[in-house]
Amino acid sequence: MNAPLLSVVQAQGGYGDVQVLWGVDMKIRQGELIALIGSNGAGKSTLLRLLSGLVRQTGGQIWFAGDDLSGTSARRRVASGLIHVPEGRRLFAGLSVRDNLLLGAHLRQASRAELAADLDRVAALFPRLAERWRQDATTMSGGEQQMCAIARGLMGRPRLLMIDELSLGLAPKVVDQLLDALDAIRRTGVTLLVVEQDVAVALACADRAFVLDHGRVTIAGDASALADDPRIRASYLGED
Amino acid sequence: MIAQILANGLLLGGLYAAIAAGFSLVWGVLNIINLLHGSFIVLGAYGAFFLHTAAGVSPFAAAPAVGALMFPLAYALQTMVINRVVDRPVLITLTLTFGLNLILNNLMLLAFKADYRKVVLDPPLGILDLGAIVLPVDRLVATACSLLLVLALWSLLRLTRIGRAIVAVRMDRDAAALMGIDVRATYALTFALAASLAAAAGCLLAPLFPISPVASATYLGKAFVICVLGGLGSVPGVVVGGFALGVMESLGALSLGPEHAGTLAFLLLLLLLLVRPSGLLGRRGFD
Ligand SMILES: Nc1ncnc2c1ncn2[C@@H]1O[C@H](COP(=O)(O)OP(=O)(O)OP(=O)(O)O)[C@@H](O)[C@H]1O
Ligand SMILES: [Mg+2]
Repeated sequence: MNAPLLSVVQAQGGYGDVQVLWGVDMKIRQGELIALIGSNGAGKSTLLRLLSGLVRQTGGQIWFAGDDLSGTSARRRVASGLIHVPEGRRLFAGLSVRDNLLLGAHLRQASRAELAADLDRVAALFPRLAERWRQDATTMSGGEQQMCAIARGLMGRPRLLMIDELSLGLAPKVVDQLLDALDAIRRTGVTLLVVEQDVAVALACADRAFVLDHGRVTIAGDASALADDPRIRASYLGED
Repeated sequence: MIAQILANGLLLGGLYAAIAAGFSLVWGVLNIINLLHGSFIVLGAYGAFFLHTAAGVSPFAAAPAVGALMFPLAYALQTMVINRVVDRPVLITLTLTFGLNLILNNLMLLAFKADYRKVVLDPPLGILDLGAIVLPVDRLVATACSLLLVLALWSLLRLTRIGRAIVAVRMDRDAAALMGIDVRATYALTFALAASLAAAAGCLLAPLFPISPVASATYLGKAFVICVLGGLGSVPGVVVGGFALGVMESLGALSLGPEHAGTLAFLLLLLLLLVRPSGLLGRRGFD
């Protein structure tokens, strides 16, 4: 068995004096699509922020592609291919779709031709963005903004792309398009960690899933097995 | 008559755009009201004055050099002092820049004395007589240089990788960090850029207005008004705000006498704030 791409060991962290994560364990292998689920306030977003270096780590370890990232800068993590598409998309207002995408490639020492090729690639993945190249990114529809946020993440050439709240507030048809895009992204060899409110959707598309509860991973396993797990059915799929 | 007043106002306004651009940039990106800004302008003017007296360098030619000299000084000041409090509430950063300004201003008083100096261009550049209006050439050149500086800033923000990073940090610090942008380094760069621009603007003012450490408060006040007039944090905003203030002052000088030019401008500003609290262009990004 080769070493996991991401290995989180007893990670702790939070905001100031407020501890949110109480020892998270998680291993993700190259090429997997992982769903991270949990109720509101469980700490999913905080975990992603901890992984990307926005939240201070107070304990445990984070191994990514063989390096210990604990205590390193957000910049270093982006450079090593750990890229985070944040909750709420957080596109840069006043900047065009194209400028937002180029910001995703900020750290890469890429030539103009390489950047142009990458812009073409994300445009092929999300044709709706290509029609809006010059538009202020934050004036687009919610679905288009999510596409733009994911495309911006891809411009950084991720090894692991973490997407927070993939489908929140989006119409089912748009969610289907996004799921198709995730499939295509995966086929290019990118590993995916997706936080998803809709547990049925999450378990249908993922290989494996982690359930986060009060800052700890309480359930982990194959997505198909979890879909039948009575605890999940009761707490997250709204059945008794 | 009206044409001449408008022309005077526009010439002044073009200069004002460069005075306010850096102040607006720092306010927008670092969320710091930089009370040192007026002193940076005066320091630049002294730079032009000494280069002119010692080596006969034209203040217009001195502007890029003095601006470049200012850059490392401001960069160091930002990384060593201001970056330590940049995330604290505005009251703290305001107090810090107030104190730093007091120190810098007193140092300038010690070094240069309070008397007014002026760069006297020799030979004088004369006037451009267009019939209906008469334009002093020194002002014309200063205004053109000033607008060039502002255009350069706009192009930098709009067209370069570094500029995009500055705009991204202004819009959303955390999201910028997720792009791999070094937010602290971007702050320092922005602050240094703004200080360079202020010093270069000071050079352009040197042949037109008396130079003294006590002038710094006036320039700071103007930068403030321009930001409020044009809407905070955008390059087109400072151009519009600069022209607006220039024209107002020129009208004020006509109706109330030159000594009250500033008073009318502030009165109009108060009126504008009642009607359009977000400035003439509204609150927009660096676009
Ligand atoms: N900036 C912050 N400062 C202090 N506490 C915070 C901050 N952000 C989040 N928290 C707290 O951390 C806990 C976990 O929040 P987090 O956003 O990680 O949850 P989540 O699982 O992503 O929830 P949701 O499904 O609602 O997005 C919550 O109790 C929240 O109040
Ligand atoms: Mg969340």
